[in-house]
Amino acid sequence: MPVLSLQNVTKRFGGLVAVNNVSLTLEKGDLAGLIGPNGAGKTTIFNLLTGVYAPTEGSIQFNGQEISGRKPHQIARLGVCRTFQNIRLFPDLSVLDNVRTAASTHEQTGLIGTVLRTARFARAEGEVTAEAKRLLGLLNLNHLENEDARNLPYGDQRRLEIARALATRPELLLLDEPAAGMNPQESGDLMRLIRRLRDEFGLTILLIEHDMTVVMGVCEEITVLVYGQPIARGTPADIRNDPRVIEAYLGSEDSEAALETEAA
Amino acid sequence: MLSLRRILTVSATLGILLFLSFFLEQRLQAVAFRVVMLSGIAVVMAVSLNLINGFTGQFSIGHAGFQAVGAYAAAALTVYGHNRIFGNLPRSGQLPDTLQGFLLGAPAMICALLAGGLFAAVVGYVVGLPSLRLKGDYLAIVTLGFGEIIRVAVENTEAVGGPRGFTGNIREGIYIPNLTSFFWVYLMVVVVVVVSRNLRFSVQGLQYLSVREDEIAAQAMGVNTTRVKVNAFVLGAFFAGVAGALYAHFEQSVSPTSFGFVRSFDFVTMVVLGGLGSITGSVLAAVVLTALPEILRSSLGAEFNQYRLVAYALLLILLMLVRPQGIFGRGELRLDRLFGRKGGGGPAGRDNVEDQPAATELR
Repeated sequence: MPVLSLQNVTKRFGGLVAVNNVSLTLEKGDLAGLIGPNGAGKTTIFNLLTGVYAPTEGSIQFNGQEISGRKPHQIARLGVCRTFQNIRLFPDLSVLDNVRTAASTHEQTGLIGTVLRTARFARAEGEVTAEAKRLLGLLNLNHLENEDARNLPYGDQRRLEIARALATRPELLLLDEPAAGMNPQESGDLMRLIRRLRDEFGLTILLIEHDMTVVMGVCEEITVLVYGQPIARGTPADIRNDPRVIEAYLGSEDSEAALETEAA
Repeated sequence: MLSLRRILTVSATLGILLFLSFFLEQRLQAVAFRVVMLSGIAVVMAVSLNLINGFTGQFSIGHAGFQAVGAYAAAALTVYGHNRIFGNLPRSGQLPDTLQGFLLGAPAMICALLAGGLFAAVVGYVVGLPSLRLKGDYLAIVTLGFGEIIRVAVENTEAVGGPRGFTGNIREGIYIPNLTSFFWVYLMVVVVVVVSRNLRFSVQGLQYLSVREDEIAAQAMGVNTTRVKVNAFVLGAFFAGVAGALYAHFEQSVSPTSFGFVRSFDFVTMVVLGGLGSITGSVLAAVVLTALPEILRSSLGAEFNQYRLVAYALLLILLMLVRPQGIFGRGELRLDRLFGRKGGGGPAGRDNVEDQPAATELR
């Protein structure tokens, strides 16, 4: 059974068709990329997958379960978690608390238990904190755990978003431009991290990225979206040489060499 | 859990409150005692509003409406329950009139507090569930409207005195009993502060804060933001209702105008002034803003008395210019920070009913 399967998904905003009849399937352990020019509908697809929007038409299945129309927190608890293109951390909470918040959604201590500080509460509290610290260690953020999230450098904020997403124990991780604003050194580390997450956690990963070095370097399968429609799908090598993709990115009269330059 | 330490802390707190109650009610001048009592009630209101406005970031400005619900529900219970449920209630439950009066009044007071709180909580749930879908200004307008609806509803309910207010004189000779002693007010202060603090420094509380920080991100991390907001609203309304019950049995008279939107704004001012989200800030601001007008009244002298409200307003403006984030911002005043490491602390060490060290690793 595929982890994620989109069938003929369409999303309209009034007269604008943001996502037009998209079908996509991800198997467990896939590391796939979603690319396309600005406004192609990539982030809208993420918003559909995480329940921010409900699709106008079509069906979205996660592990064989229909998730379109469910609330965002329900989908997150099923095991679909994301990071955001324009970072959305909890700015005034500490780095540790950002991750603890996400890790806490598995605990069912409840309001009464929390207020009375029962033994169950203490145990849950300890587990959540331990898990959060472990994840911060994994992403080399543990030395910053008491810092407010807003004070972190850009690259660290991106990694904190990944740590926070992992704390929800996802099966499917959606990364929205994880390398945006990173220098080559940082994006190199990020690529290694993404592969490691897939291998160690057994995650299925779908990422949106404009940095072609990252997309071509890390993704095993790439879908190209233009005006809400998928125009090509294949391995990085296929995509790089696909005339439709070159046309979409560079216009029809430009040569293939130009894409190579951009890709390099 | 019922650890020995917890039992000891609770009994010590009760003992200290009883002692203070006995001591203060005999020694303090009537005016000073009144300020102490009204400050305590204001603290319960401000700290409970902070649960909604400060923790989850939902801007509610109808908090006095919940206080009104609690006040009227509790007062109606003791007045109509007189001789029927509670036997012959004493006119006064304050300690100077003997310990007996306090003990006789205690069951009625506990029932009144619960009735006020639960009634307000139910109303909070009914109001909160649909209106918490709205954000920011829109929610503020709904809560403002709710406060007004309560006022108008009360004015048209003859059973609780209608527009004349309610002193209980519905059945001849029976008034709202003076049951609110120092003990009950400050017991409720301790409870609301401890509940807030236990929530604030827990992972459950982090979910509340995450709604304030970024609701969309909170949802994406699996936080049921609707439930969190409704929980905070109901909990805040509960304690506002408790404060209403205290107020009714202290003043022995409630009127629809004492819970208007001007009063609601007083509580919002307290929470903002103390620092949105700061429990100790709310406590301090509630005390200062309740005591300040009284202190100005006595210190400015008769001829300047009329400028009292001007001075009050100027002080507020000044404070907001100097510290727009509020007195404590989002942080807390902690005794262990002030005096090295020693026990948990809030104002006057009130929130030291603590078993877990969870708070020490947080701010």
